[in-house]
Amino acid sequence: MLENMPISAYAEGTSLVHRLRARTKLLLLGWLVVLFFLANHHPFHYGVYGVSFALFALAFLDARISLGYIWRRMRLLVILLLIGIPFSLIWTTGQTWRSFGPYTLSYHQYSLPITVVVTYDGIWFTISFTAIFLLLFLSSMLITTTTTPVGLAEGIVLLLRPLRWVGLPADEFGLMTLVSLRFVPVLMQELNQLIKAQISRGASFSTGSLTARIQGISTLLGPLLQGALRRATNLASALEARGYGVTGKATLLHEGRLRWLDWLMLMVIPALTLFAYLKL
Amino acid sequence: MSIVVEHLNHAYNAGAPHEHVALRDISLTIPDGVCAAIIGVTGSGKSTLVQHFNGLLIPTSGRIIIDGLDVTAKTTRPEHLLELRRRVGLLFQFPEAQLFAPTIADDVAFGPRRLRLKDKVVKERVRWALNAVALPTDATFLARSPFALSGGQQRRVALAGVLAMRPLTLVLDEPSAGLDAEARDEIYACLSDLRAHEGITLALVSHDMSEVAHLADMLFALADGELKLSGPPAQVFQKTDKIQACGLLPPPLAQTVALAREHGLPITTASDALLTPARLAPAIVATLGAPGLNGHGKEST
Repeated sequence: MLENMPISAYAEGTSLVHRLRARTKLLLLGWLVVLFFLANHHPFHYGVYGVSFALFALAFLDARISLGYIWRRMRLLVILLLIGIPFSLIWTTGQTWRSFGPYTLSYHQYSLPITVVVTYDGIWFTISFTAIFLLLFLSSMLITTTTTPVGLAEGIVLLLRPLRWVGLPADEFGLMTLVSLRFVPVLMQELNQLIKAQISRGASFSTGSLTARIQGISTLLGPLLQGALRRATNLASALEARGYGVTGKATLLHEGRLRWLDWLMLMVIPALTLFAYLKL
Repeated sequence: MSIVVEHLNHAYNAGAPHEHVALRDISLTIPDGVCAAIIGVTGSGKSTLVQHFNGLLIPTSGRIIIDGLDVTAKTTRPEHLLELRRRVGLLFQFPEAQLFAPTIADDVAFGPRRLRLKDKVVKERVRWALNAVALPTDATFLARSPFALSGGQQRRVALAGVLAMRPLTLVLDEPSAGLDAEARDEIYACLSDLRAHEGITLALVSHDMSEVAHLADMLFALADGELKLSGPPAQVFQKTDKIQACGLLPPPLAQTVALAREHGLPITTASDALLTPARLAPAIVATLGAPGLNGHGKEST
């Protein structure tokens, strides 16, 4: 039943983006986010968004991620955006582009005159926010498809390491993330087994009345929590027995040093997008 | 109630690129009232096989007929499934992990309540089930939390939970896994009693031949998803080569006899002498020709 749920969206590959370190991708993402919101204040300058879309298109092509794959995951977001567009077009103040109306809504003796006003700002904000949403979604998809979960977790730890000086336990966050990732398949397997055991003694999860199904699910919560806590206790003992200490930096196996490709991307992409911001 | 398996095949993720064939052309029969043991190493397909017995899995090809019901996708509609699971009780490995209710009585009553039985009948079933697993049935015990018991006791509570549905066949996946010797004996005593008094057909899954030797009437040995050996334990134990080919260890007594024969001691035994030391010892003594036991043999010098 639950056996086939994939843990992460990671797909192996050897594209350029795959070969970048997680830190590079995260730093570039941070840069792009800042730039997107700055560019928002330059109405009708599409440079940044256009260049970013182009870069993403190139990255997806290089990583051999199909359009169908992207579309299947983007469908819901696109629908939500389409629903939101009329509202952002109509309800933004500023210099008027066109106005439609006045229309009158009437209900019995009450009447409400409405003028639909579309402003330049409205159009720009609609375009820019739609672009920002789509670009952020694409970036997260690109990162998760080309980076292993472990690599991501370690990348975040390394980026947060400087904050250790102000008391943030970066390595502990890293350990928590990595342990959770490690145990997701284990706990899913245990849940699967538990479901089969309870089904074998009469519980129902996918059929029967609502009360029956709720009863069924309530037979899972206690044992599942117990199993997770038992594992956590055992793991804590095992870590302690291997000399795990609360202070100090751990060696990270998966996220290596930044290579020439990383430095290249860290210079080229901000340069390109900055150029687009300033000149286009 | 009997279970008939005909040319059963089961593949996980059938048709997908990562298809895994777990069972290949299995044919066996477990007649009514018998205690059958399904033996095999991890990954041999035993758990997959027994999950067919109560409708959790459906054969990819082949048939399985449980108490006259041919289990297919059509016959395993939800209405049929609850009845099937009432008739065939399946207890998974480490069943104490499935205890969830605040009191023992509630946990054991879960099955009967799902069968929509009246409260009085449910109470009676709970009493009966706890009795059958040799646990107390007084009010204080019934109101205790299942987690306040030892591992062996928790396992028996889980068994009671399945028994309360009054199954005709009981399938147990490694019932003695992780139990100490005393708890193991208790569980096996319960199972023997159930078979003797209630006539419940038993199917045990294990990886240890000697463990199920004295309980089982028939053994089925699986390896790599195929049925390699079947028959009464005494017969199967003699085929030490085939047993080892399955990745299993022959019982210590059979191994001893085989090794002794290899080294030149011609022990002749009836096949069931391999089951217990008490039956094997006279055969060894007779072969050695020691005086006393049979009256035969040479004088020692």
